[in-house]
Amino acid sequence: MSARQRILGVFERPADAAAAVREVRERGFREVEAYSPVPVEELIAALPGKPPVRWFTLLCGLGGFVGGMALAVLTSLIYNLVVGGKPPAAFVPYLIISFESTILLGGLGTLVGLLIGARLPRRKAPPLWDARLSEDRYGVAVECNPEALELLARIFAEHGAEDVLRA
Amino acid sequence: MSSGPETRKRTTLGPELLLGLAAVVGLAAFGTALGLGWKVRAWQVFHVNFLFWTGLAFAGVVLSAVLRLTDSRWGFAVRRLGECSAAFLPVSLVLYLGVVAGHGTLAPDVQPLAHAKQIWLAPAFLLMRDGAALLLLAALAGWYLYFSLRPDVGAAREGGERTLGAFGAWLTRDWRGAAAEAKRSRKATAFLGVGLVVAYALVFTLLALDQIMAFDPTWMSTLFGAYFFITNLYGGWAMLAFVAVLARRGNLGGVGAALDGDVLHSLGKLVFSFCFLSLDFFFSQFLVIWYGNLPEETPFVLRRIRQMPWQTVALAVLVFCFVVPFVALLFKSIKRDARTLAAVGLVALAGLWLERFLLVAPSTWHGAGLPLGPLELGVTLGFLGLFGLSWRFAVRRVPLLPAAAVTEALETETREAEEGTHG
Repeated sequence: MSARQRILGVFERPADAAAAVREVRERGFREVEAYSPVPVEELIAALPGKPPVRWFTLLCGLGGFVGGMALAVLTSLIYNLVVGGKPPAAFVPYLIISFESTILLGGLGTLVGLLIGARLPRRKAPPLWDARLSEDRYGVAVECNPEALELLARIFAEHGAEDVLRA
Repeated sequence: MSSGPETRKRTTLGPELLLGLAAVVGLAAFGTALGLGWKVRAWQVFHVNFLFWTGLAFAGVVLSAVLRLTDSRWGFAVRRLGECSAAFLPVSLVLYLGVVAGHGTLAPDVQPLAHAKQIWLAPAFLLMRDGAALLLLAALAGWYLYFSLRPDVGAAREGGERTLGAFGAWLTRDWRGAAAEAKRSRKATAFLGVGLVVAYALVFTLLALDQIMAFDPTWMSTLFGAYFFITNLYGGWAMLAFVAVLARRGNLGGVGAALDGDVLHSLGKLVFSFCFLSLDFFFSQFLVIWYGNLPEETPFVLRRIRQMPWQTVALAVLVFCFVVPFVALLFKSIKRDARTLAAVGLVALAGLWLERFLLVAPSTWHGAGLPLGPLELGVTLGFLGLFGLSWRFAVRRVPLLPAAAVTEALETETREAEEGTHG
């Protein structure tokens, strides 16, 4: 069996990169990655699966709400903090701390989800990494058998790749 | 086929007939209630509907100004649909006479109040200032609409169409050509739009104080005016989401293709954010009253959320206005789908109507039971009929999309400005 190889197409426009991803996937290639300096919905939609970030945001946000409420309620109960004749565990004002902790943990969860989803930080750049992909260009990388390299290079060129790099 | 135009005519006039019927039902319901001596119920629901539908009419124009001021590229197809709600403003100003007529029945006696409040809430002074404020705001909205409509109507007439007939001829007098008019319109609407948004906030604060808070004159909240005009804008976005779906479905004025999934998605996001903003304004007010626990502040809230039958309405408001739109619009698929977005918009509007009812009725109704039945439904249908007829009257006559020459002139100006900045 021949060793797997890698090919990268560098695109100027995100729509071209997304179209290339779609065609590559239609041709049966499974190991496809895309690189973009900014989030591009069309490119994300073209890739297989949905990013896991939303689940991190949801679960951490819900955890933040429960945690914030628990912190406020338990602190008041333990120290018996009676303010203005209200019950120690008062739901109305504690919504504020719960809301704030929802946002805080939801935001932090999103960051963690993003780092995990993007497999960051990496000690070594992925093969064929190009600095332009952190500036103003969009990349599509495919792992394939050596005999498929020519086909992929043609697909990238047809979709307007300004550069095609091979490992 | 010879039956084609006839069929089309029947199809397009169908909504007008239904809306006209609704207006007649409303008039009949209101007349019957007065005839039966149910004065408080009749004027109360008239008042609630006046606040709700007049609010939506102004919100449509204000949101058009907001879309222009924020230079929203996606909003061009939605802007004119909102502006068409202004066709209800002349009707609304006439209906204000009903508010004046019903004031004596609904408003409490001001004699037992402090001297300053007696002066401020004296019926003649209150009704005159609110009428003048509404008239001024409507005039400002009309001035803004003049500059918003002029280039598109002028370009259409230049192309040989007889858009808006004699009114269109007046609107486009001293025509200077599409490019010059487009630039003039952009400057004028930017200037007038700022004034309109500020004036809207001030006038609706005044309306909230005079037409809602004054019915319970011992209660006061400094945030109430802001809460009122923000929730009204929430209703405005929900209305825009609903009418955008209607316009897309019927391809009114050829606007169907421009109202694609991305536009609906953006509208859905704005309904969602204003739902949350409205809840925030409610909570900010509620928290202070809850903490302060002052005898002059709490009865207004307690009567509405703890006492029957109002508690049921309060729960319905919470579910319709906040829970359903918030949860539903978290999902992208619901925001992008025309039918589900329209349904959520309708639920939010129904919730907002109930919320206006909950603000007014507990202060004015002192009888037993919940004053919410066929009479209230009938009068509401009447207002819906009048609003719908006005909106459709405008939508069928004005260009809903910007003229190509106007868009081109504005794009050239933007490009030149950007090149100037970068250069």
